[in-house]
Amino acid sequence: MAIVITLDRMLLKRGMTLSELALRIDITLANLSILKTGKARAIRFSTLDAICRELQCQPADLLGYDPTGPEAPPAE
Amino acid sequence: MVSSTGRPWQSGGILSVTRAAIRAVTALCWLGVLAALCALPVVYFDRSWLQRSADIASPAGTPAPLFLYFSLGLAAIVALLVISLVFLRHLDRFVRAVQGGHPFAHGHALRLRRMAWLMLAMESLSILIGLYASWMGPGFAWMEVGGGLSITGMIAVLMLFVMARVFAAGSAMREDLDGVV
Repeated sequence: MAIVITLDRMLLKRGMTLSELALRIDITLANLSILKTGKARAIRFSTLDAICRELQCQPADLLGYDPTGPEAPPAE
Repeated sequence: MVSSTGRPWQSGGILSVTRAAIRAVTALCWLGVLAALCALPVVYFDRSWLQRSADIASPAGTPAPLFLYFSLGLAAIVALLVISLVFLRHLDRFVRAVQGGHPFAHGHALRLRRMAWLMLAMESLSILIGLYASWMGPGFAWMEVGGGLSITGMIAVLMLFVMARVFAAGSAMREDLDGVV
């Protein structure tokens, strides 16, 4: 997918681990890991809101767009 | 991703009752197969009962091959029971998956489509057996195990085909939802 997740960069900036963030926003580590590795197909606004609140950042700090990336599968 | 425990479709006694009913009907089907297999040698050695119950017009001078007719009818009934057993096995696996919290698991649409075809085969065979039994005479009314043509059965076949489509869409949506964080 051309959408790039930059959560790891933000975590590094804030000095927070993935497990710590998972605990703070009440989401499973497995799900957060899926998001971090870019394997998620979609992200809920509520999840984005919680991450932004805890990391004190904007959604744009977590998401990027790489036009050279592979195309997303067509929506059903 | 959604946790798969404690959902409304898993709870309630209806699934347990269904599974118990499936087990009971499965046992009855096996009993029917066993009875049919036992009847064959018994009737082979004592055909007086066949002669009394049959009402088939035979060509002049030649006795009707009653045992052959009886065996054919019995084979059709056994085939119907075997198809029913396969259908019940599919239904049991389906109910078990729903109980386990996976109503839209991959492959359920295919399972429902197979069940629809099996039910269609059961209905068709049941009609054939009904016709065959009435041709054999009133003494063979016991052969009509499936009850002949059934409107509810035909509706069930159509419902299963429609449900297969619904579950195909459902599992696609489930797959999509699995990727949501």
